[in-house]
Amino acid sequence: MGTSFLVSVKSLVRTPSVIVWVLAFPLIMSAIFLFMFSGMRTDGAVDPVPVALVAPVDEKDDASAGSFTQVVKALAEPGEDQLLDLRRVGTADEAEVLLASGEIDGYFEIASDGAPALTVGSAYTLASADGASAVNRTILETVASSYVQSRALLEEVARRDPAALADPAAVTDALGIQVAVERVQITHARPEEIVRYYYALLGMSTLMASQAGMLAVAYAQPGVSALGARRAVSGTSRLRQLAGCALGAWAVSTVALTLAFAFLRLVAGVDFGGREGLALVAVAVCALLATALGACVGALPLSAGISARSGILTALTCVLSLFAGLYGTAAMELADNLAHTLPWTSWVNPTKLVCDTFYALYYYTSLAPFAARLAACVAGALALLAVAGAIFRRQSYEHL
Amino acid sequence: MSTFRTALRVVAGHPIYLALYVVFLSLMGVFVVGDMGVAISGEKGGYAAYEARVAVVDRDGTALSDALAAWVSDAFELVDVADEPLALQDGVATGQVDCLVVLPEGFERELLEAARAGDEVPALEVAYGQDVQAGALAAQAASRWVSLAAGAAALEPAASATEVAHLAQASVAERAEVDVRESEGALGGADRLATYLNFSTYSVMSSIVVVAGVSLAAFQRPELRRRTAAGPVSPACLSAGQVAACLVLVVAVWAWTCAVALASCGGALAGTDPALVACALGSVLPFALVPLALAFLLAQLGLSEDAVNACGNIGAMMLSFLGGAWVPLSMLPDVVQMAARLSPSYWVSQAVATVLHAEALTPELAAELGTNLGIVLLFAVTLFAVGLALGRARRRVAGAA
Repeated sequence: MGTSFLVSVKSLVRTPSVIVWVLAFPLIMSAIFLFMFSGMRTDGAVDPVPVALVAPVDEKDDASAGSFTQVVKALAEPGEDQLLDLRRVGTADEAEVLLASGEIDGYFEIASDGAPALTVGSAYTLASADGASAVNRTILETVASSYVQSRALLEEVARRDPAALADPAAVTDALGIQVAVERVQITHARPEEIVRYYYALLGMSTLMASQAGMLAVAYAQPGVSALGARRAVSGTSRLRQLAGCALGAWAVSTVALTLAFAFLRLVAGVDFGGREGLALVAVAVCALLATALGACVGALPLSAGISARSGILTALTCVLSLFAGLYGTAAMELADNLAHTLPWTSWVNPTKLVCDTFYALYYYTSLAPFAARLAACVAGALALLAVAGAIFRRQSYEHL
Repeated sequence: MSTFRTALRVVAGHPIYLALYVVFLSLMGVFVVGDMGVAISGEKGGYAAYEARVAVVDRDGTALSDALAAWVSDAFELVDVADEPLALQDGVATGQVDCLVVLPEGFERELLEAARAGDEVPALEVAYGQDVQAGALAAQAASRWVSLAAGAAALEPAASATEVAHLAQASVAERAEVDVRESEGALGGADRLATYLNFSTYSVMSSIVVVAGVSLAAFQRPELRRRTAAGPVSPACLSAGQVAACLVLVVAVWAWTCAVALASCGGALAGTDPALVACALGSVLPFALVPLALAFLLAQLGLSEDAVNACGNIGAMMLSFLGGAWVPLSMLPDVVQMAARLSPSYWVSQAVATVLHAEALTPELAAELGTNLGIVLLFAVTLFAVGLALGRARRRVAGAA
């Protein structure tokens, strides 16, 4: 078994396709993701909405208590709660130019009765196809609506009980009540969409690593190569050969995935919630699952050779990665909906299971969900290895 | 003719490659443009408020907290989340919820008492999901609702909680009027097709490099080369048969890509000149010759099927990335934007964008389109020429020429 292990490790590290798919592919994809997401990283803070307030220079600064201008100014105060990035312009034409160029998402004009009129730009542009402008426009509309809502409240109260508005100071105080928003974090680490794509990439890379398990086992198949035929008639039992091949492939794929993990953590700066030690354990366990899957495909009694088995694994990897949400926002929504409506699919799809293992480590305050997914990876690996063992141990080679 | 048929049989003998690279990758593009359809359709009626996904964890269960939850379901998309740690964490972490509003026990009592006593009202506890901006929008709106309720309670000290909720509900229903102006670069229906065709540079390139490469490489195996060289068919005829089979593949991949593009984006093309759409779709055909030339080059180098697969896949990924297939080039560093000009996918993306953002097919537009596609064809010619030279040199070294 020791010899099988050593020979498997040596032959795998000398196989170009292992170097390409198991080692280089995750690194290249990580580098592409790094470029892709370099302009999209957020610090978790709200980006103040760029907005203009049309206020002619010769007009007296209207900052009386309760006025819309005062409300807007308060929301534009620098600090953690800053919601607006306010700039004052002299005329509506100046604001129109800024709006058309995309520098602001909208502008307010104050009518003679103090009511604000809001003008906004397009919700979706080439520069903000993700809908950031659509959200910002609604934030501006919410701010503008606060004025008409206060007026509606006064009218409603006056209709019910006119005496309630007898004291102007009390009315001003009542309308000036602003309930503060206290932001709390309920997850272990801050929710970050980009992190989920990196975890999905780890899922895909792990499944790509199954190529190593497949190659190690397939090379020991008499129907695949002359070397396999010689190994089949050797004195070492088939199960011991399988164990050596699988262990060798596991070692190679663990090292390759650890390098990919190191790249993600140290170069791409992907956050693992400060649980890097546990993440390395997850890398080793996920590599075991991938190796077992590869061994199972490598042991299949197919008359086809390595290329067909490699094609099966590549197809499986690409399709299953779709359900882990790797291919963009729509795919991520599909994966989330599928996980919500059919939760068992998350446990049987190895890409999703690997993705969720890192996800559980990052988001949940408790480590129980992480442990459950690790256990599922180990159980899946053992089941697949048992199937591989059953197939690999005895096969008919009549067709040869 | 038999070479042509054999080359096609080699292609047909790799159904996994055809299914994976041609069918699956082109359908993957539909996912990439999937959410753009929603984005553009939302613009049709002028201003439409963004519907953030909000969950309300109501631990108070009073008239005021019920009314707030009811308003959330009217103003936003109310998401039902169980009040237990893992479910709440899942909700914000997976993007099911943009904003989680927690109404603690005693919410109604403390709010009404503080508002009527003139004390500071308790803050509204919220947790944001992945989209912080949408979370802030929902938090701002919810805070406004609670502020109106507090104001109503202060103005009407004798009003019950139900009456206060009614007053808040009636006033929050008033909305400011909003005018919409079209911004520069506003997305139109044609942008959906442009994005799909931009992404398809990856699927077209990887599928043709891999499938045509495998077919061409099959004829480069030493045993087969010796047999065909000894046969009565001239090398020119042999090459013509192989190239003809690969051209059939190129046209088939292009036609499939166009069919998927029209099926997934056709609905958004109303108002776009059909001639411009045809030009955009037609631009992909000259581009498809570049991966064919690349496959020829790889085959001339004598690479194995696995090596062709790896080069095709990873090479296509890199080149299409430089063409802006994965993320708009404007979001990438300047160095990458400069390097992108060395990629044929950049020029075909330029051609497609130019055509689909034009009003009509004019001579100037045709000239610009011709320039972009001419550069694309030059890439194909260069790769083909390099392939010929390397193949000849390699055969001479091996003593087979």
